[in-house]
Amino acid sequence: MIELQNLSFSYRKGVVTLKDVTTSFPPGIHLLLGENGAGKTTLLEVMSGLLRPQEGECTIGGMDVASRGPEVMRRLFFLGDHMVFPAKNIAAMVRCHASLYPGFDAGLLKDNLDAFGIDERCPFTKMSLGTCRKAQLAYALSLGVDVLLLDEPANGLDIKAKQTLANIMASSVGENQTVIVSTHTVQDLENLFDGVALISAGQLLFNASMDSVASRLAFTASMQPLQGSLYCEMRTGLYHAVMEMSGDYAEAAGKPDLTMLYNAAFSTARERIIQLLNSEHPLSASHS
Amino acid sequence: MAAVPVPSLWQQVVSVGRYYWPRLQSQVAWYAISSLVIGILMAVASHYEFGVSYGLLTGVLSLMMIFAPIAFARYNSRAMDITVPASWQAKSIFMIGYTAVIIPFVTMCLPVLIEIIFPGGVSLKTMMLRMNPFGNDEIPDWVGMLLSTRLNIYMNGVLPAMFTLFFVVTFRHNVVTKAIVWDVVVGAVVYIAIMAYTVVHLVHGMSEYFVDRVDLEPSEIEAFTDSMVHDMMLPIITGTIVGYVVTTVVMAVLIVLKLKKRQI
Repeated sequence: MIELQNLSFSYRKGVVTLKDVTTSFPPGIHLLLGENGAGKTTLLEVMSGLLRPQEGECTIGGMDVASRGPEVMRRLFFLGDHMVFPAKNIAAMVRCHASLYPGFDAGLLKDNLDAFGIDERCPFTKMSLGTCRKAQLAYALSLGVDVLLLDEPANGLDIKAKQTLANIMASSVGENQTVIVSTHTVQDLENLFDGVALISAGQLLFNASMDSVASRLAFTASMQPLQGSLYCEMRTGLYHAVMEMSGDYAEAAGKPDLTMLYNAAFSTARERIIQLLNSEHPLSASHS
Repeated sequence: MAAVPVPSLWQQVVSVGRYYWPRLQSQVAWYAISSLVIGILMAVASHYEFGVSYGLLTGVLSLMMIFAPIAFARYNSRAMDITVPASWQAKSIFMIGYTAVIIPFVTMCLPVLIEIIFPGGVSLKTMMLRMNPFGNDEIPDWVGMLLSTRLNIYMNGVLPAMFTLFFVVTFRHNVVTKAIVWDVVVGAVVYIAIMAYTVVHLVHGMSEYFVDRVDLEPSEIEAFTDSMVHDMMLPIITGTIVGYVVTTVVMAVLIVLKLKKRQI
C-alpha cells in the first residue's frame, strides 16, 4: 500500500506540476492515465523518492519515501521510460544490485527471462531497445518489492512481447504487491488492471478500482446511439457509449473500456464521471 | 513484505560498493597497471636525475586521481543511483572513501614502494632545494614534509578529485564533459590567483629595488633575490595547506549534502 497525502510538486516556482494529490493505492495492478504533460511521470518520480515534494508526503507502510532511507527504498522500485541499468548484463545486475532487495526471487527472474527468450549474460549494449526493455521488466518484476512503479513499460515492445509482459505481470505480482503502471497503450494490458487513476494538469481526478468503475459506469456498444449516455463515440461501425449504471444496462454492459473511460473523462461529461467515481468509494481521490 | 532488519551502516557501505563495482573495476585494474609503469619510469628518472621527467610523472599520478570520480558517471543511471536502497551516509562514505582513500592507495602504492626500494637522486624536495627558494636556510620540517613526493602527489590529486566528485553528483546531463570542463575552470582560477600573487609580489620587490633605490652590492643581489623568493614562497605554502584542508572539508560536506538531497 502506498499512500499520498496532500502531495504538491513544482519544478519551478509558480508552475505547479502536481497539486494537492491525496489518495492511496492498495495491493494490485493500477493504471495511471493522463494526457501528455499531465504529471504522470512526475507523480511516479515523487512516489519513488527521485523528486522531493514541496508539500505533503508519500508513505509506504507509514515510512516517508522522501527520506530515502534504506528501510523504505528497498520496498520500492521505479523503472523509468529511458532508464539505463548500471551493469553489463542482467547477471551482473543480480550480483551488484539485486542483493539490496530482500524480496528478490532468482527463480522468478529466470522464468521471466525465459518467457521473453533473453539470456541473462547477453550484454545490454548488444540488445535492441525492445529487448533491453524486456530484460529490465523481467528484472524489475523479480525484485519482489512492495511497490513497483513502471513508466510506459510497453514502449518499444512488439505485439508478442506485450502479451508476454501481460502474462508475466499477472503471474509475477504477489497479492501484497502494488504495481502502478503509467501507459498510453492501455489496450495491450487492459485485462490486468485492478484499478485506474486519472491525472490531468497535475490534479488527480479519480482513483477507482475496476469493480467500482464497473458498478458505476456502463460501457455499451450498439447500432444506434443510446439516449442519455454520458459520452458516445463511433468506432468500427458501432456506437460505443458510457452510461451511468442503472438496472437497464446492468446486463448489457461489458467490462470497463479504459479507452472509452479516458475519452469520456475529457469530454463534457467529465464532471459527472469524476463525481460518480469519487462518490463513497474507499479509494476516492480528493481533488480541488 | 515481512519485516527484514535494515543492514548496519557498514553493511550498507559494502552494498553500495558492490553496486558501483561494475563501473569501477576496470578503472581500478587500469590504475594499478598504470601506476606500476609510472613507478618504474619515476625510478629511472630519479636514478638518472631527469628532474623534469620525474615532475611530469608525479603530475600524471595526480591527474589519474583527479579524474577518477568520473567513473561514477560511466553509466547514465542517475535514477538508479539515487534510489539505491542505502542511506546517504553509506553512499557518502563509499564515494568519498573511494575518491580520497582507495584510488590514492591504488595509484600511489606501487610508485612509493618502488621509490623506497630503489631510491634515486631526484625527489620533489631536492628539486625545490636546487631552486633555492629558502636562501641558505634549511627547509623547515613541515615544508619538507609537504614537498615529499608522496604527500605532494596526494595533495595535488585528492582536493581536485573532490571537486570532480562534486561535479559528478551535481550535474544531470553530459556529466563527464561538464566535470572535466569545471575541473579545468577551477584549476585555472587557482593557477591565475597564484600567478597574480606572484606577479604582485615580484612587482613589489622590483619597485623596492628600482624605485626605492635599495643600494646593493653586486654580491648582495643574489641574497636579495633569495630573500624575496623566500618571503613569497612561505605564504604560498602556508596558504596552500590551510586552503587545502579547509577546501577539502568544505567539498566533502557539499558532496554529502548533494548525495542526501539530489533529485532526478
